[in-house]
Amino acid sequence: MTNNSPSILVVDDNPFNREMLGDILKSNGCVVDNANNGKEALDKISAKTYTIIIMDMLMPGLDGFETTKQIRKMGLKTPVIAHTSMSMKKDRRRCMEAGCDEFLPKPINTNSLLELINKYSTSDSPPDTESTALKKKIQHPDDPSFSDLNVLLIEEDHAIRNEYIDVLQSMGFTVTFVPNGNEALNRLENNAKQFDLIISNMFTSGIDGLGVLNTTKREYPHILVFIYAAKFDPETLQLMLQLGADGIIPKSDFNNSIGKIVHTALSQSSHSRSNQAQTAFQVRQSQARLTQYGCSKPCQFIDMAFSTLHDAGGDMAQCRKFSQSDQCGVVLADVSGHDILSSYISAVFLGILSSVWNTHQDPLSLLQIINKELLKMEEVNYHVCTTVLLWDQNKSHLKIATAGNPGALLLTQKEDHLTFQDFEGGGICLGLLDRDDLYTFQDVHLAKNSRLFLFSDGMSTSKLQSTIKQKKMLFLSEATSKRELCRRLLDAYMDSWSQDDDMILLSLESTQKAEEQQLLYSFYSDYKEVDKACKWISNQIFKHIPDLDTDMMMLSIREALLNAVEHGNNYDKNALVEVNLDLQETGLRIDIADQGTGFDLDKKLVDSKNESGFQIGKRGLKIIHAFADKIEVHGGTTRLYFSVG
Amino acid sequence: MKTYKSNGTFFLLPETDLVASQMEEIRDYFMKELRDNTDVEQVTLDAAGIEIVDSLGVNLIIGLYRHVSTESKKFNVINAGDKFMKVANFFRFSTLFDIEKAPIDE
Repeated sequence: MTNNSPSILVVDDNPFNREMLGDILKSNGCVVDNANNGKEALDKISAKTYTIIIMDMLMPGLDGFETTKQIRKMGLKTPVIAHTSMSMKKDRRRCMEAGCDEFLPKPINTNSLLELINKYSTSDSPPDTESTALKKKIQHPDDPSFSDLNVLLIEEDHAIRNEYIDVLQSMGFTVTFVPNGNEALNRLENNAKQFDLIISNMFTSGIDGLGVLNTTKREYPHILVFIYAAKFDPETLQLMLQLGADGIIPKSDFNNSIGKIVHTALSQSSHSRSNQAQTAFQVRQSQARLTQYGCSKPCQFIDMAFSTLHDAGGDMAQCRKFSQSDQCGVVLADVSGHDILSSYISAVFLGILSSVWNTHQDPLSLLQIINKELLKMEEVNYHVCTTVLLWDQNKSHLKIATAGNPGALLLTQKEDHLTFQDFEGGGICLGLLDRDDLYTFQDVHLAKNSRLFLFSDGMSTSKLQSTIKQKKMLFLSEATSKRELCRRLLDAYMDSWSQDDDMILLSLESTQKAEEQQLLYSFYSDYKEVDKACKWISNQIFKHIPDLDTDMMMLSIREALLNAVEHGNNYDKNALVEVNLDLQETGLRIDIADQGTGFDLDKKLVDSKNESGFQIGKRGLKIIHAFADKIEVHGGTTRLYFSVG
Repeated sequence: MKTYKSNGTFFLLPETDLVASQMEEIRDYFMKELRDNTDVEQVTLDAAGIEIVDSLGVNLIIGLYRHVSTESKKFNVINAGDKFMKVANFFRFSTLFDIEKAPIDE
């Protein structure tokens, strides 16, 4: 093994595959490093340069497709060989679309592998970053020659255009021209990789130089953008710098200064891009944390998937269970912009959300408080489109409020038909106005066999509807697993429609099936209602377990109900007490939820024990504790367990 | 709900469960009756018809016992059904006053 030995990173979750590949490669003079998954691979790649990466495409967590996309977004051109058991033509295409250079099917063919290793180890273009590639193009810093650099020139005036083309070509640039910003963006959309630089007149018809600069820096950050004009006012100058212009050229001195300005920008770019790639990588890692389930145990009723396009900002989705009686909150949010400040706003948003969510579970109230907090930041250029849900899983009922996000899409399955209902979205985004009355609100019952989709503005209702119709069998076939439904829909969506923004898709499934297995009762806080609730509970227990002696059990339950009325709801006759009875052969579990904040069970039990024999105990706990097998208190929900037999 | 006097004993008959929903009415009625009938040596709570006693019911019984005791009168319970006895045993009422079970129905 010499210093010239190719260094190979093998990314595979299967240790046997890693070992087998490692043995073959090492015995052929390669230096081999291993990664168990996509995340580990990205960590290694950001710390060390490899000649070749061999990537298993199907791995849990960050799979090979996403990992390769991330590698390419980092600006790395290291050859990636897709190593996979998927051998269909479309699989090969998908690998290439993700950014792989070669396709090596499993089981491994040693000769094919070594041919590929040989091909990329002896290639004229060693592993490189885009930045160093750009650096190489600068042959003579003092006498700039820009051969190999492709410029898109935006100028409407024929005479000026021709003059500038001559100047640029004489310096070695390859020049393509368009008359205005609209055509420039069309060109970029078709093939952004073709261009290294854009040189644009500030003032063109349609989308002007600023518009081109803004879109290019957001969508195609690898392209350097230079703007020229006869005159710049200070505000425009400042705005251009904020938007990331790489150079500002006075029209009067275009011919003399363009070379120096481009050269300086390229030099700066080559120094800073590796740092930028690392920063972008860290930002992406942070973004992955923006989409989180709030419960440690996976919930069978909610599913999420996302696909990021930008390095910063991004969409957020969070859910949280508020009480044992299955009240959940769901928030889907999208911060405007895609830069570092957007990421900062995302973090602030999540911080606010985390601190106020429990005390503002009602969707409209949550939007109002977050808006109030965001406005304190005075970041007038940033706003957050938000959807908030309060999901009563017991009743399969949703309260939805939106602030600038698209409305939800309700899908209902009736035999072999799918029907859709789209709900009103919109409203004013958070962080824009100190107004509390500009949000939309809906009550939705999620009936059996129905599903509600929520999505960010990177997706459209009609396109999602069309994708669902196309993937109808995912819903109609009982045999089809509903696991990762959103991931599969999002993939299908992206296959059919181009992605032009970050996308996030959430699906909430009807909980009605669960409702049927549980027994629910609710009443307003009044003593007479407690009697009725006790009768109902007693009847339900008798129906299911007729021989059970329930006298003391019911006494205990009655005390818990009184506790909810007196202490939890403070005798407020408009406040509900909700009872959820779960009867099993081995016993019963009853959740009694009030609107209060709960109490310290352990402390009250100690107090209760210290009281004399005929006293009731704090919150009736002496009785409850004596006859229930277990008590739990979670917020305003008291849960009692009684074993049977 | 009624009361009557017999041989120096004042009888209290709630004829209903001693639960929160009934409590205000029962308490007000019995306390008024006790104030109006002080010329007795003993107060007896007739538990016939009482099926359920919740924490407020327990408080009522203890309250009655204390009120009667402060007037140096005797307090007892008669016709206590099984369910009543379960609560009475749990709160050890028998350490405070006599409790007589209801005759078993043939």
